[in-house]
Amino acid sequence: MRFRQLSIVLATCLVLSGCASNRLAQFRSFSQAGAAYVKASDVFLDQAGVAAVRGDSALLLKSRADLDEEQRRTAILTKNELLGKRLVILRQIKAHGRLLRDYFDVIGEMADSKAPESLGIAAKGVYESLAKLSPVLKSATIGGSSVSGAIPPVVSMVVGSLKVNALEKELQERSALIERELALQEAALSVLAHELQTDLEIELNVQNARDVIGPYVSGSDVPQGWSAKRVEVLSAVVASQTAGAASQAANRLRLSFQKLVANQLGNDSLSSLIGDINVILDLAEQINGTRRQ
Amino acid sequence: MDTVHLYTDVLKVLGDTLVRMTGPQWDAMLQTASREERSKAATLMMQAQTARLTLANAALNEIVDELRQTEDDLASGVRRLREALDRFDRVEQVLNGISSVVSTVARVIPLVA
Repeated sequence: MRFRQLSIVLATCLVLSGCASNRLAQFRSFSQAGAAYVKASDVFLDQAGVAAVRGDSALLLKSRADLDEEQRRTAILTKNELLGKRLVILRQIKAHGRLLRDYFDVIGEMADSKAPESLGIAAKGVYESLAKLSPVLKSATIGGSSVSGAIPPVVSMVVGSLKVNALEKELQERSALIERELALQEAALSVLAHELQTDLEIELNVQNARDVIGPYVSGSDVPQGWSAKRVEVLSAVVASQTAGAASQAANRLRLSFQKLVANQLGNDSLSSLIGDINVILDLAEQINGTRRQ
Repeated sequence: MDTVHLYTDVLKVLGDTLVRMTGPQWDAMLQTASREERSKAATLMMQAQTARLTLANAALNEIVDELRQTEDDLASGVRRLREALDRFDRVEQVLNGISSVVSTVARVIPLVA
C-alpha cells in the first residue's frame, strides 16, 4: 500500500516535471526572441545614426549653391551640433538595450541550465555512496522500482519547479517594469523609424536626381551602369518603406511578453516577431549595399 | 508619452516637406524660379531640417530619460536571477562534495570494522 502511494507520488512528480519544463520552454523562447530583438535594434540604431548624418549632408549639399557663406556656416554648425546630440542619444539607447539584453540572457540561462539533470545525477551519486554503507538502502524499492532509479526524475521535478518559481517571482515583481520598458523601446523605435525613412528618402531623392534623372535628361550620353543604378535607387526607395518593422518588432515583443505573463506563450506568437527582426536586418543589408556602390 | 506623439505628428509634416523639397517635381519647379526664390527655398529647407532634428532629439531625450529611470530595477532583476542560478550551482557542488566524502567513508568502514 505504501509502495502504491509512493508510485502515485512519483507519477505526479513526473507530470509536474512536464508542466515545469513547458513553462521553462516559454521563458527560454521569450529570452531568445528578446535577445534577437536587441541585436536587431542595435543594427537599426546604427543605421538610424548614419542615415541622419547622410540625409542631412544631402540637404546641405542640395541647398549649398543657393545660400551665402554666412548662411552655409550657420547651417553646418547648427546641424553638426544637433547631429552630435542625436548620436549621443542613440548611444544611450544602445547602452540601455545592452542592459535589457542581459536581462533576457539571464532568463534564458536560468531556463536553459542543465541544473535539474546534473543535480539529479549528483543526488543519485550521494544515494549510491550511502547505499554502500546501508544494505537496507541498497535494496530499497518504490513500487517495484529501485529508489536509486527514481532519484534523478524527482530531483529534476523539484529543481525545475524551483527554477520556474524563481522566474515567476521575478516576472511578478518586474512585469510592470518590463512592460513599460518595452513600451518605451517601441516609442523610441517608432520616432526613429519615421526619421530613418525620411532620411533615406531624402538621400535617395538626391541620389535619384544626381545619378538617374540628371544624366538621362542632359544632352550627353548616359553613363555606363546607369540602368543598374536606376534599379538600385528605386529598390532602395521601396526598402526604405519597411523601416517601420523596427517599432513593429518592439510592439510584438511586448505582446509576447504579455503572453508569457499569462502563461500562453507559444512558438507561433514569436514567428511574426522573428519576421520583423528579419525585415530590419534585410533593410540594413540593402541600405549598406546601396551605399557601397 | 503624449508629448512624444505630438512631436511625431509635427515631425511627420516636416519630414514630408523635406522629402517633397528634394523630389523631382520640386526640382523641376525650381528650374524656372528666380534667384531670390531659390535662395528662399534653400533657407526654408535648412530651417525645416533644423526644426526636425531639434524636435526628434527632444522626443528621444524624453524617452531616454524614462528609460534611465528603469535601469536600477532592471539591473536588480538580472542580479536576482543570477543569484538564483548560482544557488543551483552551489547545491550541485555540495552534493558532489558529499558524494565523494561518503564514498571515502564507505571504503574506510570495512577496514576499521
